[in-house]
Amino acid sequence: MAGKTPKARRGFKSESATSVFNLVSLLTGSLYGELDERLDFRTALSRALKKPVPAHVNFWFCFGGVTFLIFLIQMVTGVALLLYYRPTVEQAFASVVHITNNVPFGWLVRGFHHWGANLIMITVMLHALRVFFHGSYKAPRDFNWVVGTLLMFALLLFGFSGYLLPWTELSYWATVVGAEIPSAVPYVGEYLTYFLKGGDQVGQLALTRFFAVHVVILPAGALVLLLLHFLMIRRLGISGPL
Amino acid sequence: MSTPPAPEAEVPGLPSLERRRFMHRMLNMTLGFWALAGLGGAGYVAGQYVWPRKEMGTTGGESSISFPFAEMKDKGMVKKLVNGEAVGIFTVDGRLHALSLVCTHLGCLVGFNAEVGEMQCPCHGSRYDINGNVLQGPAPAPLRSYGVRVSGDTVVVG
Repeated sequence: MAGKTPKARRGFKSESATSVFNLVSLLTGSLYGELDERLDFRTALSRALKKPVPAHVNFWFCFGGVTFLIFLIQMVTGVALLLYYRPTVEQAFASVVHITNNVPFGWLVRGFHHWGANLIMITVMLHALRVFFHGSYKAPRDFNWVVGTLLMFALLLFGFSGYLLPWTELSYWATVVGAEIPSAVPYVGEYLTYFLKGGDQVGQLALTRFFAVHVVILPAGALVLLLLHFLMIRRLGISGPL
Repeated sequence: MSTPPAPEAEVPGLPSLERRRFMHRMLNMTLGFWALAGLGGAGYVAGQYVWPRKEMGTTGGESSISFPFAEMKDKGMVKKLVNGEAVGIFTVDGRLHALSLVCTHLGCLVGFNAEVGEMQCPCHGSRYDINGNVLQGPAPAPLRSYGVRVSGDTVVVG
């Protein structure tokens, strides 16, 4: 196992960081040592693990990370749900019932996805409030605030599009009402609503395009925005104390 | 000329150091054990979830039901459960019809309008003819039709 040669140890100064590394190498097995010899992961990992955090960082600074954790859970459980979900008006509801009642642990996967979707809105709001009241949105982090706002809109659209997919009475009417909102836009509103619903009423075409938005278009866009969000905060660092 | 105090030499095998190493090793092993157990559990759940199952689960209930023909005379339509699904049995021009009452749009129960001879959904206005075919949306598919016949004094559905 890795961690025996003096060369491999040089990235760490404290024993606790070494312990964390030993845990990782235990989990990844001996392959890690071989890869580390060629690619020198250890230095990169030690930099990541030993990244200094300012002393004023407290409980309120964790909500961005919690939001990202829930986002990862949503990605894993969402892909799992894709294995059984059928996006047609005849079969959507039946397939959701099948996932919940017949597929082993389907209730668990769907439950995670359902509750994750609810909780992520709470955590992202707390994250935004923390950033707002600390004034962390000010330059030089103003662009990151913009990206974060776009991410929050992406999450709202995730929720709106995902709500229709079980094809229940509630989701149907929520979409009928929700799709009317853009019609308030001057001049182009009616066209927006028509485009959103894929027709005059919420039917198969609406379900198909909500499905496409929920599982492909939004995830791709959100991942790009998340990358920008993280690169910028890594470059600019955590904002100072109040 | 003062001599600097001799540094406390780190003697290999010093008891305190041994103890610390031992504790670290135990901590790592404990963490590793629980991490592996967690991974194993997650792997079991994932394996169970993704492995395809043949059985889809049935709705339950009887696949064929019968009731006395006299029931038909009182009402325009008789409602029965077949395969756990609500089925309406009615006569139009002396012919028996048996249709699923579950609207193919969102699963509301449709009603039989005897005046115009149509099945009508109260939720979103879908209309079906007496054979279950869609006359008006948003229903995407016809109502499921059931075989129905009269055997002596009883009506047999399914």
